[in-house]
Amino acid sequence: MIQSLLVGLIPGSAYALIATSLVLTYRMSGVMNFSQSVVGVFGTYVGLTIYGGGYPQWIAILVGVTVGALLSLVIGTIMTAWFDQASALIKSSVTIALMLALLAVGFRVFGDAPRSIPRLFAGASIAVAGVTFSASVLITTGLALSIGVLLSLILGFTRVGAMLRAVSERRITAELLGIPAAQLIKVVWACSGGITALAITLVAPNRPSNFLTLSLLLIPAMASALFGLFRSVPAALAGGFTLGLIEGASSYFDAVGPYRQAMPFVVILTVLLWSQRKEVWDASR
Amino acid sequence: MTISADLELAGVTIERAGSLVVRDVAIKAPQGKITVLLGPNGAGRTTLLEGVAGVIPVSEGSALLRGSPLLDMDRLQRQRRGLSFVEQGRTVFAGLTVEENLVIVSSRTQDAYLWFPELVKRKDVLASNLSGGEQQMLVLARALLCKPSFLMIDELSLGLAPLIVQRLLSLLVSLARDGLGVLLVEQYANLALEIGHYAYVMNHGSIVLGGTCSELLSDPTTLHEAYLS
Amino acid sequence: MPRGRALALLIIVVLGVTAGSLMLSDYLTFLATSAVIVGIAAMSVGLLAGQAGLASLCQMSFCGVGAWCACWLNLHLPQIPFLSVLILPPCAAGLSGALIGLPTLRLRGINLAAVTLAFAVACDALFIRIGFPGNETNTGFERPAWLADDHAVLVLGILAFAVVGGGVELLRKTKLGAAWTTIAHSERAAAALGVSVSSAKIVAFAIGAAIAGLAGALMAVQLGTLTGRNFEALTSLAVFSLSIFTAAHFLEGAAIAGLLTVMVPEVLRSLGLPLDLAEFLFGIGAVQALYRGVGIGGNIRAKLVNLTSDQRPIETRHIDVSHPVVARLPQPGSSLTITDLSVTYGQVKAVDHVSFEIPQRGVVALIGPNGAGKSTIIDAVSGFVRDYEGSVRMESTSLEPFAPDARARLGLRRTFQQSRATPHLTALEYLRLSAGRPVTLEESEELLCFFQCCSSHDRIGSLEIGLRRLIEVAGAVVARPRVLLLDEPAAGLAHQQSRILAERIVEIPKRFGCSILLVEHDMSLIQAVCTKVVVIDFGKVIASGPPQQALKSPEVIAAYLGKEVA
Repeated sequence: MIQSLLVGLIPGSAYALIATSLVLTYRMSGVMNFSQSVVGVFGTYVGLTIYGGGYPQWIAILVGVTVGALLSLVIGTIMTAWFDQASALIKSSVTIALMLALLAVGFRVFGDAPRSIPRLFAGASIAVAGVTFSASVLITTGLALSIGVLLSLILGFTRVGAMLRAVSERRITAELLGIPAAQLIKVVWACSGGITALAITLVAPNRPSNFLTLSLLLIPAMASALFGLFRSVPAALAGGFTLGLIEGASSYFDAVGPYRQAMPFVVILTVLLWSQRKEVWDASR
Repeated sequence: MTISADLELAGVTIERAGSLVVRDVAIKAPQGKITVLLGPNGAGRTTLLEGVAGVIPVSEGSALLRGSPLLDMDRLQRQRRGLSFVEQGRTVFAGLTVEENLVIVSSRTQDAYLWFPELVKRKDVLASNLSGGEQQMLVLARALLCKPSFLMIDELSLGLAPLIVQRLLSLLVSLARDGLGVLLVEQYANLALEIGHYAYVMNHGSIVLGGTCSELLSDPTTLHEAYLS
Repeated sequence: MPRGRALALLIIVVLGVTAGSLMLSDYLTFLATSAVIVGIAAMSVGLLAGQAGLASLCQMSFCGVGAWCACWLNLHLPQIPFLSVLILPPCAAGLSGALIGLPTLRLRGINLAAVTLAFAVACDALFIRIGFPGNETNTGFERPAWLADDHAVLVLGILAFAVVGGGVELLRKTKLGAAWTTIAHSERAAAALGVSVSSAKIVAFAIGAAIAGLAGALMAVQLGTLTGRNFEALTSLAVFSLSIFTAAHFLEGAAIAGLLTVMVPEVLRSLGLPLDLAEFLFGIGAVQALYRGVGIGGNIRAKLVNLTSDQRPIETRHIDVSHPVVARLPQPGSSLTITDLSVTYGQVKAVDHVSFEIPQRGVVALIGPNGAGKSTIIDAVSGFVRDYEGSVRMESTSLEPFAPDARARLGLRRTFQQSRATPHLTALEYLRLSAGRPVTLEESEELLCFFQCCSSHDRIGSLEIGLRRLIEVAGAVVARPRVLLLDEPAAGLAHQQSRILAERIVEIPKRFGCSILLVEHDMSLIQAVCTKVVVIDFGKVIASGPPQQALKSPEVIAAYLGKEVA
């Protein structure tokens, strides 16, 4: 049982990181970014290709993360330049369209056959009280946690973090006070792309990995982000790990296992129904 | 009498959703003085300030700040030129503390606490939990930390108790004495006229009356008619 | 376009296409059938997202429900008439749509998108897990003899498309369609017009899902064997994107969506280009269409409307305003009684023990400085703020048990400070939606002439702001209310319009037998129309009485001009 819980830590880390990126872009641009995970998968696959070309792993990962960041930056620029004033529905539709377009490009460039992806930290493991912690579980979880905590600290306790929160709350007022909102938004988009690419690189070895299934990591990540209603990074982190652990535990019960994919739906619905129970009306008057 | 104009608007026309909200407005607001912009609700005063600050686009006309044309600049450039704009409705960053609201503008936040000692105790309180008066002080402090040469304020007194309004207005008077130019949109005409130097009345999108504040104060019927026309 | 002519056109087109389709090769027939089915699925998205503003990302799941039911019926009840295979599965899908719609009533925008996408993924898993009926035994859908030929399936598909498309077009013209359009614009505005937002949304979900279910059933008929892979979440996303791109809530938009899905890959194939480029092109096309604000179908529709509309100038008619339109006997007592009304937001008391009455057919102005609590009072009286203390009574009815839409239907109508008249409706459609009863063209023209705002067939969105506000007032009046709450109706009006409005407000009580509560800043308007003024500041009533008297009281002058009162 505990062992299967641990299995959930790696996907949990990935959900947590992607959810964090979703929260960041949502808060800065009001976009629920459906193309988030595809962007990350792109980065991961570019990294894989580099690795396949004989370069060291760390360079491959670095290049992958950079590609994810750049791609995300491009999308962020499109969103701010063209769809800044558009409704949330339109913005989401745009990112859906971009997701489909990127998926098509991905299939074309990388093919849709499953790939075997090398483990990042193969081998070592520690056994404590009969439970085996593999190095990859420990390192992945640690990395995800530290990135998440670091981001939360930056957002919560630094001047730049305060600026970002100010921009997300009242962009025009922030600009009137001389805060370079447009640049900050672009930086956040780039970061979120990079983080997503890293997250997917971490989880890819443990998944049946083809371009599409990895892109669909978006859905559990969205469910995780909804824990904090797309507003809170710590809540998104917690949501991601919770979902991962539930998933791990469910693989332990044979009856539930096959319906694992339905889990995000139940979680999302419950979270939203609870949090929106008082929202009788649309926008305030 | 010619006055050395710090902010000078000419022929400013602003369109919103197909209708002309501001029509051919010319205003001279000198540095070191408080210029008051009066008028009934819906007269177009807020729209005018938003146009000058770069929140919304201006269809026609020109705006000069110390002789340099503003309207081709974006919001950030206008701000760097020395123009500060306090929007209507106490636009604090509600999720930031008082200190954070200030520090994002300038790291020299201690100046703000000199202007408003009341805020020192509230330093680490979220701006959403401040009273209306404290919020308006915070917004004003934030704008002043930008070290503007010209300050535009939209509805300073909105929803505030008279005592606090007095307090804020007297601060403006002393700042103007030190050389700051102020353009103040105010719903309480008498209060504003008492502290201001020049006044304009706007109605249905145009300037319908202008003069020194004392002239307007001494002739309440003309002022009244300008409002009701 | 007149309904008769449109219907005739549709029938001719359908007959033409049907006749043409009989001559197609087998391969082309297959492609055309697929196009028709995608068109129907696109229409289901169009109805929900394009018309009602509900971002549903799980339409292919409803398709799957329909297809699954069709397969099940075919396998287990082969003896039932074939028509029921086209009727029962959409019903089942519609039911599942309503079931999804029910818990998601309070979710909108991105939250709804997230839930429906997660539902689509869950359905994916479910379909793959349980499989489609007949999968284990490798038995496909068995068509009846008369459908054995693929051309027959195509004709069936075209007929289904025409019926659904015609139905969606007709629905748009009904009150329900207008209600959806209004909900997409603003739910509050819809409720203020007396529309029950919840039931309209659930019906939208049910009908949308039923249309998708029909598409699914047709897929079963066409393809024979189905698996969960036909109804993946990703396909739902693709159909969604395609529908937004082609504006598939219009018949022609849906047709284009269908044609594009089959033609683009064919063109690519003939050019020797890779097929997955199609998805890429769709994505980019959708982004471009969204950037410009209207889908392909929207463009075509706008051109059609321009071609066929007869551009008559508005006739200026003289209306006799002296005699009442609504002969309602004055009831004894006050028209509206507000007693001890208090509203608290967090720690702020926005409204503090406010009491006043509006006499029968009286016009009372509610004034005060900005932020004094006037709009909050309107919100509480109209029911949008539910947790207020105190009571609001209209004539002898206590309003507390009623939701905003129910209050509107009881005869309490309001307008909003920011104009919320639905821009996508014509003035006549808007009036009909608001009235909740048949409104003749005659009546509508007369009313619009009364307010001098526009003619019945003008689209509200094409009018300037001032006129939209007048239409909103006209919309409230056409419902023959007992009490009318006007929240700054003169804001944004040109001087001339504001004068006309003042004249009309004076006449409304006599002519339509209702009383008016008016929130307004324009003092000249208030002095011209009101019998009584209630002045509030910081949520409290500080003066009330006839305008001349109340406006001169020292408290009021202090509140407005900021002089301190000794």
